[in-house]
Amino acid sequence: MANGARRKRISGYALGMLAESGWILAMTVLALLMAIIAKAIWR
Amino acid sequence: MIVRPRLEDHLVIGKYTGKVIVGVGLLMVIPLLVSLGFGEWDTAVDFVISISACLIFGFGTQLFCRTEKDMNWSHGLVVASGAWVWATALGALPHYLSGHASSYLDTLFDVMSGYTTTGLYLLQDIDHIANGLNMWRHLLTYAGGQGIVVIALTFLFKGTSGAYKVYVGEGKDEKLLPNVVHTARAIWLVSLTWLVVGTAALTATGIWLGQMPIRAFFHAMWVFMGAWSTGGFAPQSYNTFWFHSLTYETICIVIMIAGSFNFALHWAMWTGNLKEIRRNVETISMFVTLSVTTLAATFWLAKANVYPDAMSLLRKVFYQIVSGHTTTGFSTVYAKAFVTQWGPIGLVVTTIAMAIGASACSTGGGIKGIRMGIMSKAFLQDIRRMVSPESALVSQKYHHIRDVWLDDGLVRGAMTITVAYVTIYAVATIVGVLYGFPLDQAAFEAVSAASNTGLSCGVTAPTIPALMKVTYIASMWLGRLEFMSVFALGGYLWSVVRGR
Repeated sequence: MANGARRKRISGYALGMLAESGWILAMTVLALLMAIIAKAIWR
Repeated sequence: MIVRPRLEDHLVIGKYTGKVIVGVGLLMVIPLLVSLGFGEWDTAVDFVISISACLIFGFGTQLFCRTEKDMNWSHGLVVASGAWVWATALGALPHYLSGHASSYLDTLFDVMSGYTTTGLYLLQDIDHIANGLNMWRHLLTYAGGQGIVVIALTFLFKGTSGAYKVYVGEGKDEKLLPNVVHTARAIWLVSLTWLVVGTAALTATGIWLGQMPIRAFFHAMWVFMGAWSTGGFAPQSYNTFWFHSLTYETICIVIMIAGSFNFALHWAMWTGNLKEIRRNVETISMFVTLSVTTLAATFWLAKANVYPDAMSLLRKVFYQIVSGHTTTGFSTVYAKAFVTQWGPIGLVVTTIAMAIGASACSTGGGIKGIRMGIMSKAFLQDIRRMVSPESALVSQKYHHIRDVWLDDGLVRGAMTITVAYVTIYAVATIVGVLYGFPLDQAAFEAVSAASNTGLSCGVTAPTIPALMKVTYIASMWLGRLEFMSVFALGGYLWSVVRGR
């Protein structure tokens, strides 16, 4: 029982970290899009 | 009438300051072990001397200031700000003994820069400093990011009821858990988990890039500490530019932004509230300001045709803007490139990003996302009030872990601290201008110091006048502690002199 709760807590931490990283990588992709558009305009 | 503090007040402040300094001494054991591991005997001796000084000061103060009285609010604020001064003075000993600094003032600058997670440095020939000293540089920025007091709270304070007051004094006021010591431990859980994962990812990348495993590991750990603490220190003078790797830079971007998040946001996410990241006022604020500054810098530098393709543009622009906005200070361009390639618009945009800064209760500095969010909401509320009928009741709320209704007290608090930041940015800029630096470069460097960022456009150097160094040290200290506890320390000293 205690092991199950612990496993659940740790998987919660991992999921939280993954979600944070995903949000940041989405920002990076957005910045890449900006760079592509900017370069397309001033080629 | 100003009341002179009683003997009991001095004893309480002395006792808890001593505890924090013992913590600093114990922290130096880690670089001592690294020095011994690498056979750097001279550096090991430097650390033995420094540890002895910290322990003698810390235990001596506690012995001298024995009292059972617990802290009140003003004690907590004075301990927080005073401990940072003593921790800097004693933490600078390894730097000074290493012979890599031209004066003790330079070492104070570097250590204050480390603790406050700024990242500006005056140490010379850092490419050839001992591994032990490099460990200390990065450890103190990592420790400073969590807060020196948080360390003491975690390991030394053992649940004193006054602990929360010191915690707040250090610029963190979120309670992740009902008990402040448990909150400090939760902060460490988040930081240490990220340390393990981030170091592993960077080590693997370093090995893949051709580094020896042991070197890849230490570089990865130090770079992680610089990124997560939004400190900006790196083991090489070329900073993260040295690695020339898109993968390394992408991992650094993730760590820098994660490090700039509020610990309350981390904890909410980690405990199952995944929606918090897209509802939180700070992440929304960061999304908007980071997007706008990136857009401005990207379009300006694309128009100036500084970088040949979109990927180079992303790697240079987004990296520096993220580094500035999260107040990290990592860079992949030469310091002077901000002046010669980025030009005035690039300098101004980066300065704005640095001035706004990271989230509250994070490792970062600057005005902070929550204040930007509160001020924007207050602005919107005023506009809605103007266009609504006179009898209408216009209310506004924002979301930070829970919904919070905006009131005048919150807005005034946000405005007060913002004005304080703008003032310190302006004062430090004026000092730079008075010493002959161009306005844009003086402002860039001043904002970088006061927002605890650490990006440099080439102004900071061992040759700058001592008054500029002192101004930057004070700016870093004020900016990191968010003014109030430093003012409390000033008030305490004033009351000792003028009180009755």
